[in-house]
Amino acid sequence: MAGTHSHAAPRTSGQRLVEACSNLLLRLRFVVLVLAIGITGFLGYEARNIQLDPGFLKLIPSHHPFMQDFMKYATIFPGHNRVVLNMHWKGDGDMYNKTFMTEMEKLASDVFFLPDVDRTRVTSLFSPTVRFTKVTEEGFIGAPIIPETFTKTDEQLAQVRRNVEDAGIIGRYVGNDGRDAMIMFEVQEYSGGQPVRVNYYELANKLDELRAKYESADIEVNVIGFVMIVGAIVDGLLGVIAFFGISFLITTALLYLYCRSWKLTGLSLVVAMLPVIWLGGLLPMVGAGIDPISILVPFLIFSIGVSHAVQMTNAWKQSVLGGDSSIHASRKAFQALFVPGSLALITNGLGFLVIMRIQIDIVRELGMTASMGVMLMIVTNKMILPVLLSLITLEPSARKRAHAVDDGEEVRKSWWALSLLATRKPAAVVFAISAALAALSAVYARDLKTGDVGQGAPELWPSDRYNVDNGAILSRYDIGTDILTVIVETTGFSEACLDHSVMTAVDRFDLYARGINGVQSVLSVPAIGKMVIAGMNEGNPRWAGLPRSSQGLAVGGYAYNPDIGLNTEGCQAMKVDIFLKNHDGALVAHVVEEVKRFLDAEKTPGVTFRLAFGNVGVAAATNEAVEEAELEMLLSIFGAISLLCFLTFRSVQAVICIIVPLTIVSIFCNALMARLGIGLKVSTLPVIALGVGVGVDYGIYIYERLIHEMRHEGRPLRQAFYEAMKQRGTAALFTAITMSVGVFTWAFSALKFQADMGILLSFMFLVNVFGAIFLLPALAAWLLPEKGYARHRAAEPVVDRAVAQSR
Amino acid sequence: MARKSLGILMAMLIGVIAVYAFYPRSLPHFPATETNPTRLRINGIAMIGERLIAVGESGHILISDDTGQHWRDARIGPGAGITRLDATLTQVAAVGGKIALAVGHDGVVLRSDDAGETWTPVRAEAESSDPLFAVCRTSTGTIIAAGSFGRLLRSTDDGASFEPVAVDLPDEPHLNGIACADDGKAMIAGEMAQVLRSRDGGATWDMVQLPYNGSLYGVVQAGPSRWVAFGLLGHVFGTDDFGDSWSEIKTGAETSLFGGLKTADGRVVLLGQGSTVLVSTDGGKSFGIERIGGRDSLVAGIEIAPGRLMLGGEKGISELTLGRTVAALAGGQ
Repeated sequence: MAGTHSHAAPRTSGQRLVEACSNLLLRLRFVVLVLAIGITGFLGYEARNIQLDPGFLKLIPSHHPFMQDFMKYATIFPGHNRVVLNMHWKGDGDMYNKTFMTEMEKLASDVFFLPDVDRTRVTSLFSPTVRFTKVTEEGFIGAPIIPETFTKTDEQLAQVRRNVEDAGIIGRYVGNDGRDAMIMFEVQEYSGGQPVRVNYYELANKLDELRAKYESADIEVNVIGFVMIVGAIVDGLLGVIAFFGISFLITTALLYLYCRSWKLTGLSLVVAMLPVIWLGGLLPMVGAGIDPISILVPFLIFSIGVSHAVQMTNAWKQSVLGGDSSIHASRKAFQALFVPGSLALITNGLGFLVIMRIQIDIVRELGMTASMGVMLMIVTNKMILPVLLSLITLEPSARKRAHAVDDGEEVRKSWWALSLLATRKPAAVVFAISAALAALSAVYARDLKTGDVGQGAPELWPSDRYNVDNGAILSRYDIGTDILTVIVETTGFSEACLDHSVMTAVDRFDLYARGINGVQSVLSVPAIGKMVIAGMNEGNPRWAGLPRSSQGLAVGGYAYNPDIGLNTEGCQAMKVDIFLKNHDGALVAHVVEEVKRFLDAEKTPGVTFRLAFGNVGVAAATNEAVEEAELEMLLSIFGAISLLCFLTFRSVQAVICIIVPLTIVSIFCNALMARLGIGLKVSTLPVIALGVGVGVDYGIYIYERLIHEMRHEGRPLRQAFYEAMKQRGTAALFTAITMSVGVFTWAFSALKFQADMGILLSFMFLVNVFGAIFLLPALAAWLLPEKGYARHRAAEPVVDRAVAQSR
Repeated sequence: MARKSLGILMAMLIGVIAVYAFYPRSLPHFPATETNPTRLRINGIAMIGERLIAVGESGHILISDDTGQHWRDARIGPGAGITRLDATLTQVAAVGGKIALAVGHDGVVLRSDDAGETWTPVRAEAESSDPLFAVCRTSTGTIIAAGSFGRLLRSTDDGASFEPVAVDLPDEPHLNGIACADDGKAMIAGEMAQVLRSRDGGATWDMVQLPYNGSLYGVVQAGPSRWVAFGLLGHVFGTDDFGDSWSEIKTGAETSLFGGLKTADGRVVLLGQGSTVLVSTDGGKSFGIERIGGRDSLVAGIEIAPGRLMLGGEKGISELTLGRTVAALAGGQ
């Protein structure tokens, strides 16, 4: 689309280099073609190795202090990767009947033999470790809950019901109303201290199979745990491929409508697909996989690829219509677009690289994958496409209608009407409207929440089976699934749990935490110790205290058994589990803040409290990392783009004209998130960077033409803007619509966070172009000379040409 | 420059709006962290005037001036070698005027002379952690405290100091609960179904063995001459001759009973494991089950208004209105 005047002007050394490149490229075009086919074939074949990689550990902000010892304690205190299977009796009466118990026993044994299960930590009614104890005048009676030979006679079933009551496990392993029983296990993430690559999807599928096997008219099976979230996400990912298909078809239709040539449509699609295929092959080679967030990169790359292909094919078509041969038109298109197009892609890539500053692996991989894709596009779009174009001839249908969309009378009239905004008074009106909208949005944007908003697994829709199951289990048991774990490290004690100062310190913390708003309950070693000590004294609650002597504390010895999972051998480390009402970002931050307040004042020698683990600990760290990254990311992206604009145009006015619309759209984006109840989190944080990184193109293209027309052609401002819109407006609008539609298909994803990203990106891509065509001319009207630069034209034509041509 | 002024102004305005929009957002307001009266173990409740005092887990004393709507931590000063109290408290009693006493683990006794607002430890044992379980004031003004391993203490200075009482208890049973009458009589219920009684305001004590071998956790004066002792696994015994002869009362409950009280209208209420509430409306001759079948133990209670009880237990403070079930039935008919 650029360069229609270039052949007449004196050449700079840069242009000569570009020309030489274009000649070389087209002389070797068959070599390039063979190479392209070869590379595509090879990488396409390599792409078979691509792995879906939804690992838990990638979501963790590893640099955050909370997460420093996460790995260490993840091996000592598993729990974040627990799976809970609940069997619910829907039939008559309670669950103490032969059918239920038979099925439950079978399910427990099936679970035991699943792959990747830590078999030492499979717990249910049927585990020998789940025991009941009963106080009598003579002492205790205790035994496993299920009799050794369990034939499920009525008598035995009644016995099991009594044992369950005596064991005090109602609300934990057995549901509150006696119709639910639970099987819990840990996923084996480490074996002999080495991380195990768990096939989560396979395990989730196996669990789904078990669910299907045992569900019946009388029995419902609920399964929750990270594994199941992963399963649901991978299923959702497979659905995303269908969206890719839809997006592909829509793009095809739009492309054809725009260029009226099946050849150009096909070429654009093929060339836009190339970086996607190449990326698919390269990722497994660099050891990366596709995760739920980076799966969106192919869409993005494809959309950007199409938009750049449109510019190239458009420039080529204009030349062909002007009477050039295919190969000569290709050469001209390459010369005109290689530098500005590559620069635009580098700007995009910069936007994605900024995302890599966020110290969360899954986001870094998104940034890396997207930057890689954009860099590949410099080869595919700027080199392979001209070669392909040189090999085709434009069909007559496209020749006939070539001007209809791009340059018709109606279009010209609209652009002329629009160019009114480049005059002072209308511009002031645009200012007033924009400022009012920005101010209103800013007020809404203040309500933006960090972290999750809503219940259950935020990755999924509330109606998803996982969230339904989660709700069912939470309502039927007294357990919580939102846990903030604080680790207590002790030094200088051989048996820290037998030391009064250690135990009372932890106990004080436990009691304090119980009083924090939003905390539902707390589980700690001393609390269980007190319970056991009372239990050893016939269950008299008044004995529930922490004796000062080691011998006294030893009475509660059962509580300090590492097998319970709350402490290590000798209580060198203990954990305190704080159960929260939910994991809303604000609540999590409040609880963490209150916990810190207590710990700042808590000074017991040899006792260190370490924050924070558990899923809420991870959420707290992630939210803090996201919040911290938000400002840094905004400053980086806007700083980098401002600098790039300044270096390109050498003027502050250019920077203002391009950055101000982007800023307003970013405020809109935050306001939209707040209004739609979408939280700022790992998946939505990159949206503004992506949106700004891509959206800046529109502003740059239009401003570049505008200033070129003013400086070089000596046009007054309004005329120059009209020319800019004539040459680039349609392409920019087309690009915006194509990209917006492409990502909007995600809104129908089975995964809520993809839908969130889709809606927001779609909004950013579309509204950024409005910023560039409405607000940019208004800013220009008040920043640039109305009558243009006619006076300077003769004085410094070469410098101005170079500045304008560098885009 | 004037021609550019509006453009620059606009850019600056948007800049300011952006700073406002993206400026770090503060947290919404949350209620302050405070001791949650429903989330700590409460072992004893007493009342002085309008003020409720509840004692329990890890040295916490909660007070309420609006009959239990709001609770706050009482101030506990240093004393008896204790700088920070962390021993669990097991019982509290009003002992006349504005004086209240609380007892607990580590043999600790705390005293308040301002109706529970501030407390000072007056006694603690550095060596053993053995708990005291019971305290009351006899009609002669002597204050008696009892506890584990047969420990019996006496104070004749309104609880400012305590001295051991010599009493012959060969098995050293835990002395779990005490009741003081207004005629100088006092009775202590203990382990192995042993009961101590005194007719002279706690000056002298003698031991009675009940026809049972389990633990008794408390005793209530149910009528002028009727005393009821209760304990392990729902066992309840009554005597009409101050302990010479006892008979077992079948209640139908098999859960241990840890606390008892008498209401102003003469009903006797026993509290225990599994949220058990037993009520006698015939002066302690027979008991009916008012409520049973929860998961947590009730340990102590006091009547705050006719038929309205403030209870303490493993799940902290709760309220119960007696006779609701009966009233509901009557209404249904």
